Amino acid sequence: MEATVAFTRTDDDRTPSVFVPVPVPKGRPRTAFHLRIRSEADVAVARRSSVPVFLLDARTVSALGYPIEFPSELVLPRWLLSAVTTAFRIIPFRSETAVLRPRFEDVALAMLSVDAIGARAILERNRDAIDPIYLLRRVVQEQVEEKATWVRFFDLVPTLPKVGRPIPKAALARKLRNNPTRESHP
Amino acid sequence: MNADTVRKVAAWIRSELSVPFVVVGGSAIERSVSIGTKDVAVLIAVGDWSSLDAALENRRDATPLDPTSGTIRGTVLTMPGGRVDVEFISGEPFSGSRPGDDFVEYVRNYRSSTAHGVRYADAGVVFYMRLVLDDWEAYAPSILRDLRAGVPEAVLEQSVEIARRFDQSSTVRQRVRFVMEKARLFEPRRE
Repeated sequence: MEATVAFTRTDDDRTPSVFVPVPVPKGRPRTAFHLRIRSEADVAVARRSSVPVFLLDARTVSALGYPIEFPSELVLPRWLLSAVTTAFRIIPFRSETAVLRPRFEDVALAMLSVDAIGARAILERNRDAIDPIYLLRRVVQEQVEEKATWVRFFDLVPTLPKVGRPIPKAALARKLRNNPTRESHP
Repeated sequence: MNADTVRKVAAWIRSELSVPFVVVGGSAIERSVSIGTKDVAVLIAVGDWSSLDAALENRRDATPLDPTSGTIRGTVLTMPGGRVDVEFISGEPFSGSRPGDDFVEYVRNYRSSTAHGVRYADAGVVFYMRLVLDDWEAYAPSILRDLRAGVPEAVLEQSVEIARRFDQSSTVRQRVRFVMEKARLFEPRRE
């Protein structure tokens, strides 16, 4: 499968001259496909076809040191959003490469949308493996500076930009320390 | 924490510890949406701490309460199938200038419901409890997580109603506003 980008005329709009029809090769009628992801297995099939999608699931997050149960969410590049139908909640990424080959830093960034404390915990519990340059690049690329600041990613990578107000250090530390492998909130 | 485990913990508290309680925290939220909380938190009367301490002092299936004093103290309960963290919380931090048990009674009488013999606090109570604490900023991500999982935003307004009763409404309203701002920030944008 090869992903292509095309434009579709809306309603009765006149088509400006900058848009030209895509020629259809002789004898090979083209069928446009949508991606339909209904299960974890569908994600695996799509990935085998080099489609940039990955599933953020409890197993992966737990393996990174933050045991948790939550409904899996589908991470995909923004440009693919309109071509996917799925019942999974979606986390859009700007980086296609990070979706194709997610590193644990990317899992933490995706986790920011699900459970920000969990995102911080993933980084903290794998802090020796953090690539600070990669994390800096990815935080800026995904434009999550404010979210990252809120849960104090900058404690782990001081070069990260600080945008907005972070959770007080002591409060966050208590939250993470009280029960390192479980939730502790009332 | 699945509902079955919560019911087992509730049955254990009733039979072994003999204190009345209301399930709060993530386990109460889990009645309506799945959030994957891993402990069971229960609200108890201030006067029940001493009998709880006594009941948990020398048990084989549960550890003594830790820390040894305070308004939020926990035990680790060993059950068939694994260990469960159980947190006991008394009402003082949530009752404003009123006696701590006023909050417990209020939740029991007006802001909770019973399912399968277990009394669960409404989600508004859980959000109020998180927002009124000094450490509320560290609990705000849990609220965002719950909203994303499907708890209606109207529950935040319920938390303000509860706060009004305990003269905490201006504090909690301000914090609700903060949470709403964060919710907008964290909502994935589709461009």
